Amino acid sequence: MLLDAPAAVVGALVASGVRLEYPNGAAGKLRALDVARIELRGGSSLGLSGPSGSGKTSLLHVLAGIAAPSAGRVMWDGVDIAALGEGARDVWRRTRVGFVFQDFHLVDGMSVLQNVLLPCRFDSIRIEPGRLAHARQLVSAVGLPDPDRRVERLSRGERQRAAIARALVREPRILLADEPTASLDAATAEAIATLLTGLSRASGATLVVASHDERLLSRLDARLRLAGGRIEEAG
Amino acid sequence: MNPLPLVWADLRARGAGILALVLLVAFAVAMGVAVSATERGLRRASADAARPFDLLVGMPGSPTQLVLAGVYLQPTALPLLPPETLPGLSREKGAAWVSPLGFGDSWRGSPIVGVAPELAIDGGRRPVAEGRNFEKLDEAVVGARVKAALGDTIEPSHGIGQDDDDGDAHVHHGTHYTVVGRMAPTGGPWDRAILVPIESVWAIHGFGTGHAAEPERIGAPWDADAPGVPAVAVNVRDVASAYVIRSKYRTGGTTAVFPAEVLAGLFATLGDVGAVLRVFAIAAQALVVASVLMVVLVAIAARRNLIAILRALGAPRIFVFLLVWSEVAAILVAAGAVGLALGLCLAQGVAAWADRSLGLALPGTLGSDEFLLALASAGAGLVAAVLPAASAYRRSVAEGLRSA
Repeated sequence: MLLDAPAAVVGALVASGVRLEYPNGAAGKLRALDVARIELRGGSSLGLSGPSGSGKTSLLHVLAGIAAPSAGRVMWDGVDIAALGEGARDVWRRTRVGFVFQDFHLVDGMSVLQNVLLPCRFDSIRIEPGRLAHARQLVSAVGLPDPDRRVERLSRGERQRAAIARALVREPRILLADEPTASLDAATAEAIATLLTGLSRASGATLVVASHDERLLSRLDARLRLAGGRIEEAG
Repeated sequence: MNPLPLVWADLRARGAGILALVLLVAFAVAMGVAVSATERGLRRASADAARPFDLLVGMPGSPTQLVLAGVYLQPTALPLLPPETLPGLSREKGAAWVSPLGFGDSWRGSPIVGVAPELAIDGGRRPVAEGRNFEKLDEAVVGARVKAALGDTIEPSHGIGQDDDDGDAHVHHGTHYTVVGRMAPTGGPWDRAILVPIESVWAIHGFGTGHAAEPERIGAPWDADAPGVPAVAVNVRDVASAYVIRSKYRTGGTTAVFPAEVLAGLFATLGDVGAVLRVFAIAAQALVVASVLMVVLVAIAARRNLIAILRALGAPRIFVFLLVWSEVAAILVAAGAVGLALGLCLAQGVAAWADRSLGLALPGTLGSDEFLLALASAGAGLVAAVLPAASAYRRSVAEGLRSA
């Protein structure tokens, strides 16, 4: 399956023969994913749709290197992350991927800015001034006026905005989002969709979104519909 | 990498629970620290108090009782020595000086002890801090902490700890002493004592002065028929003399003991008790550290989602390890510091009690042993926290995210 032009620039994906299986007691193995091929041009956007349990999140986890596939290759910019060890996948993910979760998963007790800067603390003791300035710009860009506000005092929409800023703080080439608008009201979901797609385009990152939200999916360059862990439809 | 902002946020978020944990561990550390500091202080203070007494001679009985009465001035009814014992001891060539110890009277709670003049100045090794030594029957030298000034008059009462306001039934009417000197501090019960000539004690109780020919004279030698005393302190010229005199006065109806030897026996017993207490304190700390680790494991279980999210964001193994371990470290280090402070307070409390009840000046301070104890407790916890911290990374990230 070909989406846009063949991968050549950063953030380009070629995944083939990807299977993800889990032990399932006496029944042997449960196949959660069986994807023949996905190709995605760097800087483009892809939506993953399908009913609950269709494999959207599993595919997102495989693409992020969070889960190692049982078989197949997941090539990002020519690097097969499925062949990497866990530690190497952590490094790859840290340096190339931003992740937005459905329930935001911000750390209570910390400010917006501290949450946004969290991924920067994984490999440096002090935050560089340039990174700090970038984080402040991001907080402003996602529409949060007070970077020092504790996240538990934010509305759900504001929390998702902070989460998007956190995903972008390391300037990732790949931005993955799992149901980023699912727990938001319609107006907020619309605003978040605009923000997510706008910022990813502005940064040049490849965006892959798993979602039920048609308005969000319609903003993306391409869409794959999954069912039973397989690609049912591409468009 | 720097997990400290996360650690701090987590500690703040679970403030009450964390505070309870810190206090729990701190109390255990404080117990160990206080036991150690008190035992050390007790040994030193009691040894200091016994230092001027090379040898004590009394009637056969409990050597511990003799030492408690003679060295620590504990009110104990000791039988009187035969009259010939004191003159005999004062004639011993190996004795540098001897001093009878006559107890039984007091003034405002301070025991009045009849002694020879040499004892007030430890044979010249410890001159009086103020004034001079007593030279007459009606003169007294007070201990460093007796609330009486030079020139004050002291009217003795019979018995120890009697309040003069109870009435005057116990007061020795017509007898008084004038304070002429103050002893240098000893750090022991003698700081609360009032030292008077033994001759005056005998005279008050109607036994004469022990110097029939010169009733006003004080000090050795005494008459062969001088009144009996409950104990005699002997300061020897050398070690060999000490053993000779002890051997001689262990027969013939008297006993002689080295206070240091008796104390060594007491210390051995106290040491055993101290060791048991320390074992209990360490066991308590081990239990608390174990409970801390349990709490850490529970906390890890509760924070698996956060750990999964951090890992999804790319947190390396060492970051996750440091996050969990630093939190345990912060709890234990805080508990160690608070425990040391609490232990110091406890040790000072015990020192104040020992001062009031025993007259022993315990230092009530912490030494290297106590710091090492606190460090060892915290260190053991930090080492033990490595396992749960390392295990925090093992769970599948995808699984953690699904339950997040």
